[in-house]
Formats: sequence, C-alpha cells, structure tokens
Amino acid sequence: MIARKPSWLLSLVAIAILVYMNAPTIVVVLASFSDTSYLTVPPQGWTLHWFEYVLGDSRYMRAIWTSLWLASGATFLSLILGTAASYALHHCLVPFRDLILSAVMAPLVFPAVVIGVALLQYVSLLGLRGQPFVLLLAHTLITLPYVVRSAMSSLTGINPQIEEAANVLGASGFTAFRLVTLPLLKPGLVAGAIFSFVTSLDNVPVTIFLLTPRQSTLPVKIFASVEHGVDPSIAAASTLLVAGTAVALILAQKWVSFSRFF
Amino acid sequence: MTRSRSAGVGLIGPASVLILAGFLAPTVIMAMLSLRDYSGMHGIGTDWTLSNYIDVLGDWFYMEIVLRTLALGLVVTVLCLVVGFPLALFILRVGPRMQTVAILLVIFPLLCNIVVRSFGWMVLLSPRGVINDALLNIGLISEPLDLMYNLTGVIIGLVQIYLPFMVLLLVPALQNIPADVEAAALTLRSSRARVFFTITVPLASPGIITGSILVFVLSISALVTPRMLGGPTYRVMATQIYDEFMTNLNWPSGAALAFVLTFIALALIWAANRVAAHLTRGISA
Amino acid sequence: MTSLSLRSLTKRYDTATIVNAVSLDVEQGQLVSLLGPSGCGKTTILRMIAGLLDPTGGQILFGDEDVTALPANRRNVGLVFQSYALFPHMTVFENVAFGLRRQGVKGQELKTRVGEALEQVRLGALAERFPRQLSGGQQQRVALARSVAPRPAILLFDEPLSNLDAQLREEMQIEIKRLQSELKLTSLFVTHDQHEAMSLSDRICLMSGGNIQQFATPEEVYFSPANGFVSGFVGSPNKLTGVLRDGAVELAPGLLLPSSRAVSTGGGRVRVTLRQEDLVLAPQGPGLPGTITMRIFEGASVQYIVTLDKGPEVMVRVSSRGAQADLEKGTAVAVSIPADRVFVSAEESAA
Repeated sequence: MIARKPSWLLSLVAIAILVYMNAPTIVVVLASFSDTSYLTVPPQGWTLHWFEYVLGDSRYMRAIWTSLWLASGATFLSLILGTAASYALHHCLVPFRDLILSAVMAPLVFPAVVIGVALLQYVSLLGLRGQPFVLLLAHTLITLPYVVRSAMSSLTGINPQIEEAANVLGASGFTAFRLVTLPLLKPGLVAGAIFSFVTSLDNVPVTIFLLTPRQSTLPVKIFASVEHGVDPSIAAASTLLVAGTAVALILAQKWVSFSRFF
Repeated sequence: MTRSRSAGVGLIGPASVLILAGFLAPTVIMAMLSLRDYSGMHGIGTDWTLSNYIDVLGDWFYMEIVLRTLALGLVVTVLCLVVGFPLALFILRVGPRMQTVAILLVIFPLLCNIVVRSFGWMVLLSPRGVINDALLNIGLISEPLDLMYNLTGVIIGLVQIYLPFMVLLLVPALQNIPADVEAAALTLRSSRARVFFTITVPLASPGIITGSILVFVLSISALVTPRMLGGPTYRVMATQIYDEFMTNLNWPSGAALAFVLTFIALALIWAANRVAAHLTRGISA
Repeated sequence: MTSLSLRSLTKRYDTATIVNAVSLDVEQGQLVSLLGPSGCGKTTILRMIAGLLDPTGGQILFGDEDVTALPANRRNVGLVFQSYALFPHMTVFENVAFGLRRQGVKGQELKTRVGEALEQVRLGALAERFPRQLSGGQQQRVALARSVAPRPAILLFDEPLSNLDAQLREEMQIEIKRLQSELKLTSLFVTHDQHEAMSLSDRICLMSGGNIQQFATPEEVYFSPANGFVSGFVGSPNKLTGVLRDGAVELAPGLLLPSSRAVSTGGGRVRVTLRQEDLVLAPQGPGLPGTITMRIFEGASVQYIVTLDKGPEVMVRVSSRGAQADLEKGTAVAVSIPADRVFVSAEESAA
C-alpha cells in the first residue's frame, strides 16, 4: 500500500467502528459495578456487591473453577500433542502428511455446534456423559488446531540446517530440539497457547452438549442465567471473564509482538 | 530412514488417536444416526432411511430456517466487509503508536467471550437498555425501539463479534500490496478512486475472500448470539440443531440438519480456496 | 585428526542414482574439494559423511573406524553450512561453546577454548553479540569457529562462500586455507566454483552425474584433464564441434586444427574444448584466419571475440600488458593453439 496519512473522515469512521467493537464489553464492566438491582449504564452508584455475590455463590464458583482447569488442561495437552504433531508433520516424518494435517485442522472448519452434537451422541452411546476427562479431551480437540497452526508457521520460519548443525556438533535428536528448535518455537507456542486458553474459556457450543445439569462452565452458566432474566450478577461474572482475558492479552503483548496475530 | 519413521509415528500418534476417537468416530456415528428413522412414539428406529434429509430439504419449516440462516450469513458478511475495510485502511495509514492501540482494540473484543459480548448487546439493545434510554431521554423517540429479539439485534451482535476476523485478514492483504504497483497506476494517470477499485481491491481479493468465507461460515454456525439476541423463538440452523437434540430429542433429524450445515460450510470453504488459488495465480510466485 | 575414506559410497532414491559407488581417500591434514555442477551428488556425499543422510550402500571410514552406522551426533565432524546455520537465540560465545558443551567441557576450560577458537577467526571482541548483529562475513567466521572448536576429526564445508560478495569471498578463502593448514584438519570442501576449488585444495575431486571424473591436484586437473567433461568444466573454454581427420579436427570445411589429444573415434563428430587463455593471436602467419568482432577490456586481461573465416566464433583471452592487447575491432588475425591443448572428446560425453 502507498503510505498516506488517514483523512479526518476516515479517522472519524474508524474511531466510531472501534467504539462499536468495544461497546458491549465496556457496558458489561460498567454494569457490574452498579448498585441498583437492575442494569443501568452508567451506574447510578458504585458497589462491589455483585462481585461478592458471584464469588460467594457456590454454583458460580464451581463454574469458574471448571472453566479454569478445563482451559489450563486443554491448553497444556494441546501444547504437547500439537508441538509433537507439528514437528513430525513439518519434517515429513509421517506418511499421509496432508491427510493427517487436514484431520487435525478439521475441528477449526467444522461448525462448533456440529462437533458438539456429534460428541453428545457419541459419549451418550459410550455411557461417558459428564465425565470430566471427556470435557478435557473435547476441549483439547478444539484447541489443538490453534497450537498446530501456530507451531507449523513458526517451524517454517526456522532454518532446517540449524537443527542439523546442532546434530553435527554432538547433540542427539531430542537435545537438538530442546536446545535449538524449542527456544525458537517459543513465541509461536505462546501465541498458540493463549489462543487455546481463550478458545477453551470461551466455548459454549461444544461444552453445553457435554455437561450434566449439575455441571457448568462460566460462559455456559452466564448463557443459561440470561434465559431467566438479566441482572448485575451476570455482569459481574462476565467482568471476571473480561479481566481474565485482559490479563492474557497483556501477557501476550509482553511475550509476542502483535504481528503474530495476523 | 526407518529410525525417523518410527519417531514420526510416535510424535503424531497421540494427536491422531485424539482426532480419530474424538472427532472422526463421532462424526461417522452421527452420519449413521442421521440415516435412522424416528417417530415421536418409538424414538430412534433401526431402519435405514433418507427421510431426515428429505424432511430438512423438503419441509418448509426447515427450509425457512436454512434460508434465514444463509441470508443472515450473507448480510453479516457484507456488513463486516463494509465496516471492516475503512478500519483496515485506518490501521495501515495511522502512525505506529496509534496503530498499536487500534490493533489492540480490534484484538481485545476478539478474545473477549462471545457470551459476554452478546450479554453486553442485551444490556445495550433491550427495550429499557442503554440505547433506548438515551434516545428516549434526548427525545428522539417516544417509544422504545425493537432492537432485540429480532433480526436487527442478531445482525448487530454478529457483525461486532466477527468483525475482528475480517479486519485482521484485511490488514495484511492490503499491506502486502506493493506500493510500487499503485504508484505505477497513479503515474499512468489513474485517479485515486480508480486505482483503489482497479488495483487495490483486486490485489487484496484473496484476503477479502478468505475473510468473507470465514465470517460467513462462523455466522451460519453461530449458536450463542442468535439465541441470546434473537430470543427463544428466533430460529437459525444452529439453534434448531440445539433444540432438536436438547428439547425435541429428535436426534436423527438434528443430525441431518447438522450435516446440511456442515456440508454448506465445507463446500464454501473448498470453493473459496479454489477461487483464491485461481486469483493468486498471477500474484504469488 | 584422521584420514577420510569412502568405499563404494552409493545413494539411490527409488530408481535415481545420486551417488554411484564413489570411492575416495582424503589423507590426514589434506583439503580436498568436491567440485561439480549442481546435481552432481557432491552435497549428498557431504551429508552422508556428516551423518545427516543414510547411504544406500558403501562405507565411510574415519581413519580405520567405520562410521557408516553412527548417527551424526557421534561422528565428531565439523560442518560449515552455506546458510551459516548459526543459532539465532544464542550469543557468538554460546554458538561456539555449543559443541564443546556437548563434549562435557565446562568452566574455565570452556572459556579458554571458545576464546581460542574466536581468536583463530579474529572475532574475540564480538563474543557477546548475537548473530543478527554481525555482517555476513563475520557470521561465516563464527560458523567456522563453531565447527573447529570441538576439534573435529573431519571438517566439512558445504559451499560456505556462495552467500558472500566477491571481495569477501577471497578474504574468507584465505582465512579458511590458513586455519585449515594451521590446525592440520582433514577437510572436504564442496563447491561449484572452480576458482575456489583451485585456490583452496590440495586435491580436487571433479564430479558429474554421481561419478568421479577426475581426482588429482589442481595443476593436473587444469593441465591434463582426464576427459572431455573435465576439460569443458575447468578454465573458461570454448566448446566447439568438429570432425576428426588424421590427428586433426576439422571445425568447418577447410579449418583444420591439429591435436595431439585426438583419440580415434572412427571419424564421427566430436566435441572440441579450447581454453580461451590457450589460444594465441598473431597479426598473420600460421593458424586459422579470422576477424576480431569485439574487444572487452577486463583489467588484468583482454578478451576478444574472433569470428573464424567461414567458421564459428571463438573467445580468446590475452594479458592486457601483452603485445596483442590493443587489436582493434575488424583486425584480421591468425588464431593458433599448441596441439597438446586441443582437447577432443566424443560428443555425447561432454557436459
């Protein structure tokens, strides 16, 4: 593109769009501090009451806890499975490379709700509905493509002779990977991990089919609560999620440049 | 060579097992389920039938849902393009510091929970919500506008939710256009508008297509936002699949609907890749 | 430090034979070049010696030890890559220390030996820099230091100079030659550049199509090429065709060139290679008559393009301080060449 300063009209339009994109989040955060029992923005008075309510409610706390261990566990598993798979795929160590890669990436292009219902009848058939490990594996399935995509693109940027150089200098296969490839892969893996974590934390369309009535994750709990009417406690729970996301974003900025997101 | 082959299988093994047992097997079983007969009295039968697909494609009740979903996807995609283009241009033209801020403000909503954002729209759009309140207060309207539990609300929400994807694909697509090409066109006495439509847009078209298909596929698959902003009676394919499985317990019918949705999504992605490959013939080496 | 021997080393992919039963001995402390056009199998041989590629057949010996089955990390070779292949996330010091650490060297000894290696390539002051902060030449010197620091049995070079500009390349050639002879390292140098091979090597192994064409000193390769391929690859030859007649080559009807290197091929068409610098120009006298059609001044030499009467064009290179340096375009000349400098080969065997 030819470098040019944006005109004031373009700037104005862009700022309006940015406001539109961030308005719902801002509104939710503001509403969570409202001291009225119905939602008002801006709040008439300020209170932390709704946060106290959410953090004191055992159902909310269980949902938050489920969300957190699920996101951490799925990210951890995806990182290990995804990095190993990407390495093998990148170095063409396996037959049917393209087929396997498409299969790994498939959960990204399949409509999430379809994956959800497919898993629902599958685990019902196996009698495994409600098992925590089923949730964990389902979330790993949907976060894995993010790690693989990220790791594959990072591997492409690494000179293949670097690992050979390490081999020749006396490092065995795994040592060479640990000392040379892994450090170079780290920014890509961090980006992939953050996307995985957020994707897992965000997921409703797969999770909702796999939960028993007594189980919940935070987004599913919010989704379900809305059907019974909106109140500031939902806003407070949402604000907690937003805060978690913001922390992840700040970490991301510290670790990797934003060009990673393109 | 055999050494690296066995290492390769060891590395790919765990991920393959997960995909095979956790994704391919369920999909195949659901495909079989979609071919089973179903009656309200006896539940899922044991006979093979195509009736679930015939129902979905022939019954006006389902057809309307499918068409509404596709129309919704189309409107959301076009709006995302129209709204995303100026923002992408702004991000490319503005100074480095403002650029970082702008990109941050695009990525932040992307990472924010869809449930939270949809809930935010409920707060904004409801009859006693922020927008209606403000409009009533300044006297522009005398009665609250119906912004929610209808198509308007779903569109407003979906555009906001999928706009970041579009912008994040448009920015690099525009960025990768060599400045020399546009400069060359300008020296050949083309107006700026002409350069934009005859040079910039075609060269950015692979990015535009990728972004559009992504937004379209995500929109027609969306469950949370249509349910929250459309209300329980606003039906699109994803919400109908949910209801067939969770409320009506007509799993074969839900499975058939799910496969129709999947087929549309995959066919579009496949076609888009073909078109994009065709378009980039002359562009990429 | 040890000698290197290849015994019938072979590499085949499906039906394509990349390296065809190559046997080669590199004496201890010698530098041998593997020279040849791309695709001749030279890099494949190097990668097999390094252990990065499994041979289809044959043996690789370091001294008396058969290393064919050893993985790369247990062969103790040094390898200098064309792309340098420095570890971008490590400092120069850590890059050079990498091989030593794998050998268990640590503490003060590690520092001393890394320091020595960096001094040998005169980079002692840059130990704390990262590779991306160095110029191309400096990066290649780090790569050199990194491969010699663990005192490898064999030092391998994979076209290490082809990413450098001309002037830097010459400097690095001297650097490599000096370091190799100081450390008396048995070395194999892969290149497609004959000048590089000539100036660096004790012996040159010229390859084509997976086979050795000639293995000899640079002088022998230059002055007595073993076959038509070698004579066509080395120097900057004119490649012509002709017909063999009684110890002479007929380039065109009436244009006869006596050759003492003509082998009887039964009177068929042959390929003739004439080095530009072997051709002699004279205003008149014996030789093939022709006219100068272009003069190109090159500094140390002058190149003429001469169109032989009723015959092909030939390029002739003479010293720019010689008697024939100032011939004008259009001048009639006689082109001659000693009979033993006319290399004749059967047409199909020439590259």
